Amino acid sequence: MIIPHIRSFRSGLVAVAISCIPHSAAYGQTITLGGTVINVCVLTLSTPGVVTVSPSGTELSTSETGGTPATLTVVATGTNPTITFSSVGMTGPSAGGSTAELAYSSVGGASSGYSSSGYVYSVSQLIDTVTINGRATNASGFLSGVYSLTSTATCSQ
Amino acid sequence: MMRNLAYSLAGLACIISSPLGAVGLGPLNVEGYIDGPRKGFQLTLYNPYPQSIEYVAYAIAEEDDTPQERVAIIPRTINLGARQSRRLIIVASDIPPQELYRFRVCAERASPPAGVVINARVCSKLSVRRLR
Repeated sequence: MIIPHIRSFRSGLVAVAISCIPHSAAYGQTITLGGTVINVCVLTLSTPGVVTVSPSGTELSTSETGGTPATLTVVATGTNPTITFSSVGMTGPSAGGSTAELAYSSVGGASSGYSSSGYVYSVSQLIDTVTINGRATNASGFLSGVYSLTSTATCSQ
Repeated sequence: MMRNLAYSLAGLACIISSPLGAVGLGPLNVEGYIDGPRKGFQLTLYNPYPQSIEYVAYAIAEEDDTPQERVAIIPRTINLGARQSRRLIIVASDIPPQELYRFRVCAERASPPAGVVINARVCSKLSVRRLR
């Protein structure tokens, strides 16, 4: 049983509640979260490369035991970029007389065998990881010391 | 046995431990038209590293690495905090009437660590045509 004044209070509450319903609940509102994607490229050398000497002593390579290839992560927005690798350079005690080469591969389509010249890779997807193997050969062998195989990777359109 | 040991030691000595390198830049392509001798552009430099890194930005020719004296970049060297971005102002000057001037602005670490194998850089292609 509802006491009359309570009943009227309840109906009044309902009326107030209805009048307080936001206008947007009755009429749908479109919510827009906007944004613009521009062409950006982020290059990250995510894994360092390591070369070790071969049992024959005439080759330094990422493929020898203890060696690891370098990995370069490409994250682009907007348009697929192009990665240009410069020709290979080498430093170290026996760099003179050595032949340095790099090879490239990726899920996105990079594919280049060992070469001392540069490599141009038109990336087929916005996100890719390029694996870079390196080797250097010297018929006279390698004196002890620190060696580096170097290349500049340029991301552009 | 001694020979294998020698090769192992030589292998350890020859290990290249290359520190990481990273840089982000955009947009990668900007075009503009002007009726005067000067044109300004804006690019955004991004530091993907989890720590503060100093970057350098420089202007070079479209097809090779010839420095472009007509282009000023502000700032040219930038110390960016971890995963921070910064706007770069690029001003191309002395553009004669009717000329289409194309160049690139590249960014990379100011001092790549010794031993780095792959030096990462990103270049934006900029072009401006002076109409009159």
